[in-house]
Amino acid sequence: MTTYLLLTVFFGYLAGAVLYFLSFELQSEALYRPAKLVVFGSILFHGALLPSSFIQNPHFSITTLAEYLEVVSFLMIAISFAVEWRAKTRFLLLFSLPIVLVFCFLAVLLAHQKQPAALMTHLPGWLWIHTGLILSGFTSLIVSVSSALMYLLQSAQLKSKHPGPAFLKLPSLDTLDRLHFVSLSAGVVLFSLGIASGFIWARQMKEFLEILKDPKVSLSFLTCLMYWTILSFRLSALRRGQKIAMGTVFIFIFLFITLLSSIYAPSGFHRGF
Amino acid sequence: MEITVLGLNHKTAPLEIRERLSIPKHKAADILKRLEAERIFDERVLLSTCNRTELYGVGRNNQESVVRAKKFLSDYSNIDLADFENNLYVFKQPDSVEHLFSVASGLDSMVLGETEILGQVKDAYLEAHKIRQTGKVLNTLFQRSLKVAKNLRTHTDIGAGKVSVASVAVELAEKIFENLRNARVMIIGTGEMAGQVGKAMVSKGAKSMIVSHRHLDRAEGLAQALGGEALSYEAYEGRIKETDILITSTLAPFVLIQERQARAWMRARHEKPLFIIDIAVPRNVDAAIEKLDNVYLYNVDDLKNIADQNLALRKSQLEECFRLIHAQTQHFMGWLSKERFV
Repeated sequence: MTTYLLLTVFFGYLAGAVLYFLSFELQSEALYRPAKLVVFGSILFHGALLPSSFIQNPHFSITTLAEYLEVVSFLMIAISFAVEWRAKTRFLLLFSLPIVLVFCFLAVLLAHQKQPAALMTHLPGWLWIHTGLILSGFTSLIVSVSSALMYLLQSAQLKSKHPGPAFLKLPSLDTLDRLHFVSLSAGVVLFSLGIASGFIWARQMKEFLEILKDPKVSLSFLTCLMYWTILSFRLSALRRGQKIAMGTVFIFIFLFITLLSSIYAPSGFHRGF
Repeated sequence: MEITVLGLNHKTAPLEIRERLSIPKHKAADILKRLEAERIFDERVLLSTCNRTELYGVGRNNQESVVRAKKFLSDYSNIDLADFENNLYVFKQPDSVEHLFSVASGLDSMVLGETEILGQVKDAYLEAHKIRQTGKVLNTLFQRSLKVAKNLRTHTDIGAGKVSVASVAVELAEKIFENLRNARVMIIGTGEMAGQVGKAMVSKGAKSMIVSHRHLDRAEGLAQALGGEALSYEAYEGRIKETDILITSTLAPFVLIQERQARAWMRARHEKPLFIIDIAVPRNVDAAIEKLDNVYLYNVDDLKNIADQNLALRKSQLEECFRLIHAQTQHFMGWLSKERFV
């Protein structure tokens, strides 16, 4: 049942993405409003789906990768929607929606995962903090990659000297740089705190050495290090603009691989999650 | 009851005639009342801009009203009717309705698709409405014309992009910097085009204007006109760090700004975006600079190409715009006959 409902959400977002794309490409202001409405409706439906899933299976809602992706995609689309609405970054959703669609699709595919382990259904305090921080950090980093993609597109339009239809629709480079910087900073800090809280829990459980063998942990650590490098470049103002935006996109690909690593990893604490 | 328009515009009349027949805003109410006193039309709206003077009227005997209106205009402008009668046009409905829709949408303007006219049509209507010169027909017609104009902007690209070099430069600057109120412009040289572009930037709130030239007196003149500060040529490099938009327009027969210079500037600016507009011919800025990250270099041809492209895009929308206007005219005529005004 949940799979079909999730599929409905997926198609809602897909319809929104198509309308957004048409509005962007055809320069049609008339399609922008319906696109927003379709996405908003899908967000509401998606939001209602999360508590209903909890009622159906009363355990912590992100104990499998499918559930994790379902929650992340919801948080991401809701935050992108709010940012687009409040920060006047029109068409941010056009760049967030493809990532959300991939996440939703994976959530549908992985919906038949095994039942969560007993440990995860009765989550200890530190792990609540760990998953909460990682979730929020991940969501923020997705917003940063969306704004980085918009920055690169707008910058390419300006450099080409033949600005196309995208030029008029996209916000200014300054706006995108600000959004990118804020979301990147928030994402990196939250993500790092999430990793730190995971380590603290592992120490308490005397599993510290065990979790270091987990490929997802080592990859997350590496990703975090790359994010801090790029953020320090931006903070020290040694680099900004195109190069930082490209860096964000590159590291996000790495982050995505990290997320999926637990499915294919032969062993590890995060296996299947 | 019939809707008629009598008028002239930039297509039918030379500037000498247009300026004589132009009616300043503060005189419009008085003129309308005089037209009412002379029983010229039953309802009337006077639209007068720098490019057109038009009288929209509704009445039962419009032919006679038109003859009297022509005489009125002749008396008002102190020009013999014979000297400008050939410049006048008279449209009867449905052409008059279609004409107003085209005017409000900017299709009849000198700069195709401009938006200023929409505000002028609205003001003209409100002025007439305030002094009870309009009735049910003109109220509905003018309100509909405003809706049609907005509809056209939403459903077509008639207002897409800017079509003058200065406005294209401003549009580009607005896509680099969030708000021009926080941007600083430096002009090197005192060419006319540079002044125009600088003025356009200042009108959008560019914070301060630093004008630099080998002849400081000329720089001071331009700086004063633009509300900025004049700098000697030797001092300009020291102020680059705080500049966001650099406009070059000198007569120097060589490249003034080299790539290595710009590279050093960008380091000093912590890679903050720099928009360079090179209006000079021959060019003052090394073309290799455009390859630098976060530097956006445009020369006069680049700006002109964009303006031309935008104009071509607007022109390509004309057929669709006229189709929509024709449909709206039919719709309005349907309402008119339903209300038994026809």
